[in-house]
Amino acid sequence: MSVKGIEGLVEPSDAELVRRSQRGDRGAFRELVARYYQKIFRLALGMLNDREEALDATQETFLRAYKSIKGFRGSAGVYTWLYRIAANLALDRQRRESHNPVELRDSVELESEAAGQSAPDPAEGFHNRRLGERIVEAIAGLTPEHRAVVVLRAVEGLSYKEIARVVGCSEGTVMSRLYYARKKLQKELARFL
Amino acid sequence: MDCARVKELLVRFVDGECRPDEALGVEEHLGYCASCAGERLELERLDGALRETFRARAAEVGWDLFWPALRERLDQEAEEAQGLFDSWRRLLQLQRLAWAVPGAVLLVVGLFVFGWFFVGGENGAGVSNLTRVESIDSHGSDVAVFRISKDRTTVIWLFEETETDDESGVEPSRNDIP
Repeated sequence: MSVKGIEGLVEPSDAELVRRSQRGDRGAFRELVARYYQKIFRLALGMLNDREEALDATQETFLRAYKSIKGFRGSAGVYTWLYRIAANLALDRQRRESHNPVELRDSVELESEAAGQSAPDPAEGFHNRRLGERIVEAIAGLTPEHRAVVVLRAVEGLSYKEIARVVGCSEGTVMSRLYYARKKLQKELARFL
Repeated sequence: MDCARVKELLVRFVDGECRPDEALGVEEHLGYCASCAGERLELERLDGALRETFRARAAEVGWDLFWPALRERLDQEAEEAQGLFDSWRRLLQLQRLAWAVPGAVLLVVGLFVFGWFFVGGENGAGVSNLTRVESIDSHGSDVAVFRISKDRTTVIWLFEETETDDESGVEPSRNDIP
């Protein structure tokens, strides 16, 4: 199955790209990376809360995917598979470095700059910047498992079923983690929402 | 549907994960309850803020920054894999002659062990312990010697009923034959 592109060109489907990658076509794998690297980076960033660490984890995710793509049978979607690799990697890193907490200041500063650049109105820009800072801090207060479900749901828009598949738990657990994480974030961000 | 039930379902409702009947009930309640409607708005704002924040942060990492770094790692990985393969191949090539000596020794030992146990070494499985020898006592007839073990031998005498009544041992002359 193929997807119709914007310019009328037929873009290969994920499954087609996977098949070609399995035959050693580096160009096809590059196309897969181009489709998903931002999503994977957002998940890694949400879970690790450190830009460099998240960038490295995202690269590692695709490196692992490349090495094991021959074994990928396609029972789940490519993105579910990639998210799963990324989530496991991020969790492993978090556990390894749990006694070495992430320095938030860099992330907050980067976020502040990004938010500031995208807001033309100074008042709105200030509000967004403050909100961005507070969101980064509030997310950092959650456990990696809670961060993962929040990012996968609120940022990536995955269904509960898909999230359960990615993080390897039941839909009920996803639901309760989301409920808890959102309540906590609402409480932390009440003044800004 | 009351507020408590709606608050319970609100997160799933915002996520689009409610059953159709539940979604209808929540929707109806939100139409007239300002408190629950406010909470729904807050949840939607939270999701929106999270989405915007993470998309803005991720946008800092463009393709031009990401792909070259990943490509380098992929190339490095491929080189390492190839290097490992080459080193194994070289090792086997260099050591080919060295392997030949222990290989030949192993072959000889293997053949010896095979011969000993399966073809016929001392007391091996393939030894035939039955033989036939000429007996002096039975006038040139054969006897079978069955060697059960080193200390035990069974001799089986084989003879034919060809002896005459004449005990002298003198063969009858041609004239005696009718």
